Amino acid sequence: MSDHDSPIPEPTPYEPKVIGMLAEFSGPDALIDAARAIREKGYRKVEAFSPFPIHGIDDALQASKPTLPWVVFGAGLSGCILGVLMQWYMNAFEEPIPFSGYDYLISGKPSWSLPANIPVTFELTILFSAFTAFFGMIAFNALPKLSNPLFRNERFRKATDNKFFLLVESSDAQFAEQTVTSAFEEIGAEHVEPLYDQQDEPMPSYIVPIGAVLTVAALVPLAMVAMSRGGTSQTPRLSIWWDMDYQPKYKAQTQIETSIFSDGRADRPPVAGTVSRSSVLTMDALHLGYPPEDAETFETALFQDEPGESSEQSNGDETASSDEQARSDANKAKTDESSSDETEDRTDNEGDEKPDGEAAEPAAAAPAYVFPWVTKFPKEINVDMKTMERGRQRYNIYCAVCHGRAGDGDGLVSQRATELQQSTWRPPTNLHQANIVAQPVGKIYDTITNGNLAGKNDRGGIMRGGMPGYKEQISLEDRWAIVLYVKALQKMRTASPDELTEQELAKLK
Amino acid sequence: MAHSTTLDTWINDTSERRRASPDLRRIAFGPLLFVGILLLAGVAFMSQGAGWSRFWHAYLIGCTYCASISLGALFFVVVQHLTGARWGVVLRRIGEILSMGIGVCGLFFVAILFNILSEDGSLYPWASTTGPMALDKLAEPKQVWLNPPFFIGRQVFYFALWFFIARYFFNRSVAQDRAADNEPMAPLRWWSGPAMLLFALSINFASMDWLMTLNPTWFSTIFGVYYFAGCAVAVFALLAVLIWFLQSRDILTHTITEEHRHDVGKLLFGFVLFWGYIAFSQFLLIWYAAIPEEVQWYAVRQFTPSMTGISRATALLFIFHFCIPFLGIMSRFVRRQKGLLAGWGVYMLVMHWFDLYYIIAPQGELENWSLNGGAMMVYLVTTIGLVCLYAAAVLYIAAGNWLVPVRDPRLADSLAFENI
Repeated sequence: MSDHDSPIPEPTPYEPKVIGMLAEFSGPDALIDAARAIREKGYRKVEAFSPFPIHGIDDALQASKPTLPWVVFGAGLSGCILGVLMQWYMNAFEEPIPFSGYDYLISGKPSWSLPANIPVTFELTILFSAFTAFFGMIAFNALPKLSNPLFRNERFRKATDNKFFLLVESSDAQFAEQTVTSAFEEIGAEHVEPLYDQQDEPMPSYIVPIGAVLTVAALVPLAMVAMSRGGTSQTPRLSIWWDMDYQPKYKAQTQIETSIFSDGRADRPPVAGTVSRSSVLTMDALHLGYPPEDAETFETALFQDEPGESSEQSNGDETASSDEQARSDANKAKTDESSSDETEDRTDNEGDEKPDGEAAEPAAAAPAYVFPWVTKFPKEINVDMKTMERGRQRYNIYCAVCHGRAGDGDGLVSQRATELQQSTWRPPTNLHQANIVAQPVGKIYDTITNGNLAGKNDRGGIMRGGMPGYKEQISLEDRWAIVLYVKALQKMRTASPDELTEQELAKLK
Repeated sequence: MAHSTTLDTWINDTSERRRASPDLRRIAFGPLLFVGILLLAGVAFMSQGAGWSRFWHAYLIGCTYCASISLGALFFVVVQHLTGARWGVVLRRIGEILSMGIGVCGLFFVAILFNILSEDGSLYPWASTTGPMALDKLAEPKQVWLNPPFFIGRQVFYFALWFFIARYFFNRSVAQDRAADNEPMAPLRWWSGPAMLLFALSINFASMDWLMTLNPTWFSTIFGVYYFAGCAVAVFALLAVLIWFLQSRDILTHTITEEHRHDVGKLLFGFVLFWGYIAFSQFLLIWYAAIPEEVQWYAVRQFTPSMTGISRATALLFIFHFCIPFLGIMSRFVRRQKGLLAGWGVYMLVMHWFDLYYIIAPQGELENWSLNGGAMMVYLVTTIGLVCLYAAAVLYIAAGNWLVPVRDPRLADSLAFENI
């Protein structure tokens, strides 16, 4: 801007230069003939202008084949390949960890299934092609061109109405005003005149400040959004489309006095003949977490198993937000339970299949009846480092958001919910609490599969609650792999140096 | 514009033939009829006994293949009038002649009606009085639709309707060839609206009747559109081949130009994409929901819901009926080369047959079905037999007629047509 402020030197009158010869023709046929004729005379830099597209003008001008189609084709192909790669990376690619995708089971389909990827691939192909065609067209035509000398020409205005023009540019090798004029007149031009360029005018100085003000003004709404995001407000939030927030609906499992159904229930019982999903599942320890012959006593047994679990758990829940307290809680519980060491021994060495695991169970702190959760991993599950690694991945995907990466119940979701003081939020369990550490693998498997125990309902049945079941999201083998990893996490806090070999100790030192 | 001069030059141009020779009748009633009947009778005779059901499925493939060409042609003719299109006038007569072939397709179907009345369930399981899908075992609502008298009545109605539409458009167009004014053509534009509506509804129900009820418990609401997409692919593929064939014999060499072929190529390309879009949409929804009563249809066609989804037959269809021609016909260069376009036309005609084979053949053999050569011969030879008879009928209709509507008011525009 300072350039314009400096004193302007004495203005010299601008000498317009001829940049081409413009010839006017009466009709499309005359234009095509003239275009062909002027090409034959050896002129190469020829442009045609007409009010509408004319068939055959490209041939007459021998216009070079456009490269844009190939560019668009390439872009479409890139979109297609990128679409496939993106989905492969996001859904089916796991390692290495810093760049890991998110292998999340959706609708029981395999992580990498081409049919599900085709719509997105198709859309990306179209998107890339369309954008390339649009912006490519603009770029290849050297647009936007804010000013064109042709528009200053008085006669040229009829190019959008009823006149047809040919322009021989001055950059043509044969260009000379006189010869071009006579050539045009020879082939029947109605009018020929030189086209002059124009003086470059400086940008008006007021544009920059106006632009700056507008730019800043455009940021104000964004700044306001950013401000309100960080703060709190007492007024209820604006509902422009309120029917999303306040839907005319009934919650499942509720009773309504004025229901349209005679039994007053909000939801309908299953249609006669409905087959429950669990009835077609295989019923064995691998799927259940306990021997199938105990399936009938499962519901009643759950409450006799591990007495006082629910109270202890809620105790743990309250303190879970504070790491140290939870840990001291866990230590207290540990000293309370006389057999805990023995129990841990059993769970830690499940891979070795020690028979004394069975004997340890009755010695627990005097429960009246102990539900026979499986204490060893089912034989279908390989207890090895591969499963452990798989369990670590699954745990970090599905569990760590709440339970925390180390299992302390301090996952990001939990931290955020506590911070917002959400009244309905039940803090996740600290996996290092003594009663959790003491749980047999079958019990942990059951919790992952069906959710944790939330109490009894009115009829005395069990209610699963706080943590939902993950059997729809995590496959059978992966749930057992998570159990293995959870056991390893727990062991991490309780292992003593005595249990390690000399070599392992040496490695740690 | 230069159209009047174009028309004058065209009228005075004697270097090309524009009329089908009356001798075609002799070819139609000579070798074609003979070969067609011989092949069909041969396959039927060889298939007696164990192969009987396969023969009927092969017969249905041939019928629906021929019918799809005529129905596609009928669509092409009616849509020309409906849109008032000018570019396609030079191609319309070929479409009209092809659409008249629907009459002989109706005769083909008479045999299928007799098969239904025989109640042995060798083609349609619901028509059987005993089999596992016998009519009385079907759920009540389906019995209302799938019973022999109503089914036969519907088929008579469909073919009568199509034949009536095709004949009306064909006769009026031929009458125009000899007329002094535009009187014969005048009502076609108005009637094209109702005709298109009736065509759309009838082809939807007809394809359900012919193909979907092969498995009476399966359903797909997009199926009619799927079959229609195949019809359109078939007719534009055949047009591409016919143009090449006629022009290689000095017929219509100057009338049908590169520009018209380019447009046929565009339409072929467009409908290949449309077919892929519909076929994939049907597949995706059924695959994703994985409901047993829907997914059974793909399961028989070697599709495994628990695995990655598509395998062999379905994948073959997707790759060869969609991906390869999609890339092959995409280029403007290909569409403007007579030979190349005709090559893709032949390819798509074969693929369209494979599409129908994929729909029909597995229903006869269910879990035992696989792509094997011996059975494929039965399907192929039956189709060739029926196509011979179909071609005989079409040649008979064409014989002696102009192959271009010579006094169509829009002919001049069509001759001068150029793509931008």
